Parts: sequence; C-alpha cells; structure tokens
Amino acid sequence: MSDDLLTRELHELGRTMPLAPADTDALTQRVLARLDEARREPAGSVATASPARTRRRRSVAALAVGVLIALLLTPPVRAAVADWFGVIIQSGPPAEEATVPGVAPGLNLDEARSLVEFEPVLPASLGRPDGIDVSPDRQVLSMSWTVDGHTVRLDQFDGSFAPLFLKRGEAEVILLNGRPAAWFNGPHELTALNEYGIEFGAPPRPAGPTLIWEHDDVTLRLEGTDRNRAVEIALELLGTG
Amino acid sequence: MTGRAGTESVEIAERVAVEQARGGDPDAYAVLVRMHLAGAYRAAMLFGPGPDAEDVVQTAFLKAYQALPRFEAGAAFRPWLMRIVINEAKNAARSADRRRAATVRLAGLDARPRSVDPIDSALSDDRRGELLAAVRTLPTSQQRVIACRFFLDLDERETAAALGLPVGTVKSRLHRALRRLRTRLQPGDGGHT
Repeated sequence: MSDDLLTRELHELGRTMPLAPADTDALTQRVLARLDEARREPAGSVATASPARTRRRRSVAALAVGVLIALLLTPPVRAAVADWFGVIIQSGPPAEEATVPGVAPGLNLDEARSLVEFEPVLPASLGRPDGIDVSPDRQVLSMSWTVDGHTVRLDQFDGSFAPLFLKRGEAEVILLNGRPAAWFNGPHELTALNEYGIEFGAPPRPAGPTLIWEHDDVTLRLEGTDRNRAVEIALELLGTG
Repeated sequence: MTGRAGTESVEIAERVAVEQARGGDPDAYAVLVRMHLAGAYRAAMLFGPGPDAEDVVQTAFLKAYQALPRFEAGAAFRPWLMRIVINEAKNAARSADRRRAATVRLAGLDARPRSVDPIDSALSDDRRGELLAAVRTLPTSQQRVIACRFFLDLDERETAAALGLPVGTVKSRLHRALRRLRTRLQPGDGGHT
C-alpha cells in the first residue's frame, strides 16, 4: 500500500481515537486553579476558581489576544529549536581531582535493560562489568570495570546531545566513522541537563578524561581510559572495531 | 486533523501570549492553557496511563509555567509544551508500571478504539482495529514518532522537538515505521479511492 494512503489512514485513526477530556471546561478550570494556587502558596490547599474570577480571566484573556494580534508587526524571533531540545552536556571550569566512581553490583544486564527504553550496549573487550545500575529517573544506564587497578565507566543516556556543548567545553572533536565525538582530555565538571536546564541522571561531579559519542540515538560516555583506548572501545561498540 | 489551531492570526496571538506569559502575566498564560488543553490531554492519554491524564495535564501546565523563563523567545510553544506533557506522562506511566518497565509503551494505544458512525469516518471499525494493532507491534521508539506525527498532528520538526530527538532521527524512525506498517497491513478498503 502506498505511504500516502497509509498516512491518511493513520491521521484518520488519530482523529477517531477516544482521547478527549470528559469535560474540557472543567479541566481547564482545574488547571487554572492549580496555577493560581501554586502562584499564591507553593504548598497550599486546593483552591477553586470563583465564577467572578473566571469571568474576569476570560475577558482579560480575550483582550490579551485582541490587543496582541495588533502587535503582529514585531518581527518574530527566529525559533532556535536546536538550542533547547536534546540532552545538553555542558562542560564547566576544570575540576581539581577526578576519581571515576565505580558502579556497585546490583543489576544484571537483562534487568538493567528492562528498566530503560533503549537498547544498551556492552563492550565485549572489557569483559564482564563489576556493576551495572540505572539512575532513579531511568535515563542513564551505567556500568564499570576495573582495568589495571583503575575504574573504567560507561554511561549510556537515552537521548542525543546538542552540538552546542562542543563549543562550550574544552572538548576536542574527533570523527568516529564520520560522526562527531567529543574528547575531554583534562578533568572537567560534567552535568547532564534536560531541556528545561534541569539536571538529570547523577548529580554533577568532577570527571576525568572522557569520550562522548552517539550511537543509535543513545549518547555514550566513557570515562577512565586514555584517548586511544576510548576510541578503540567506541569503534568496537559502533561495530567497526 | 485534530483540532490544530493553524491560522496565522492564531499563531501570532499565541506568540504574543507566550511573550506576555513569560513576562509573568497569568492571564496570558490562561490563553495558552485554553489553546493547548485538548492537545495536551491527547498527549497525556497517549503517552501515560489513561486514568492519570488529568493529573498529568495539570502538572505539565504547572511545570511549563514555571519553566517559561527558560523558554526561548520566538521558539514554537506547542512542541515545547508537548515535550513537557510527554515527559510527565512517561513518568506517570513508569510509576504506574514500576516493575514492568520493559513494557513501558504508549498506554493510549491500548484503549479500545471508540466505535464511530460510518458517516463520521472514512475508516471502518475493523480497519481502525487493524491499524491500531499494527502500530502496537512497532518498537516503542517508532510508536512514539507515529503518535506525535499522526495522532498529535505534529510535523517532523515539531515531533523532533516534542521527543527531544534530532530531526534526522525522527525522519528515519518514521520511514522505518511506515515501511513496517506497510508490509504488515493489507491495503485498506476504508473508503479512500
């Protein structure tokens, strides 16, 4: 069947899915009441919008739309969607001392895999990990090994990093199979931020030499090896090692 | 189409409402809530556990309000809001389904399709059931793209923003998903010519 027919059918399917609120007005009022409440007292009791307040809000809202359409000559600021979507890995000022935290034994790979929404990879050349764990928000799967007495750690994030961070940090850009990867040679502070600028995964910590790259929509971060070994492992995981 | 506000004047009104809401005007934000409530609820139903959809929507609008100062002026509001709703819905699905996270998927697709008067839809109930069953067999990552693109009526760019993926990833997942659906589905007799 043609894509065109299929896409029309899918649109039509979506249109007829039972996904509307039972009472849109009532839900709108509850949303607005909750906002009011949050504005007034961050941890207060639920307040309901009075009819007078609601009427006032409606008229002001209508006015806002009316007046603001008149401002349409203001040139729109260009949308820079790329600036806010995706995982941003931001490199800050150099940290003093970086120790690579090992991952405590807890989960096996199958258990960890069942907790995240991406297919984790395991570099065979490092052998069996000492530990595997998943962050409480289930966005990061981590594993570590001990190699010659040093900890090697691999974090796998569900998401892509924005190229933006490459400009901010002290990173060297390396091409792996033609795709950019970032090598942080010195110690650095590493924080994973989501699109609201909120940290996720683990709290920020000083990090040592680290390679970051992407594979199948997952961002991988390898810490605790030198540059050559990191590239070797990355290429192994990319299937060309 | 799913009730998408698409006219230019509405877009401009939205942009201005966003600007005013960013400036701290609660009434301007109320305009945005009204504009986007239905779409947010659809996303909450699709990506979260259905019974929690109202909670998800309330929390998402609150979080979006609090995050507005970090919203980039001039960016598209709808996909940004959708991203917050979808994340909130996914979190709700995870806590509702804590130990079976491997099956975290689009809970909304489990809803039985409502029976529709044949006059109202070009698709028969049977055909809709077939389509939905085929979509359910896709990997979750592909289901999400299908849901955004066709059930939330976002374009590819907006889908990318709503899911936090590069546009190229959305394109390739969409392509793979449609190819899979095509091989799985016999052509419909759903009234299209």
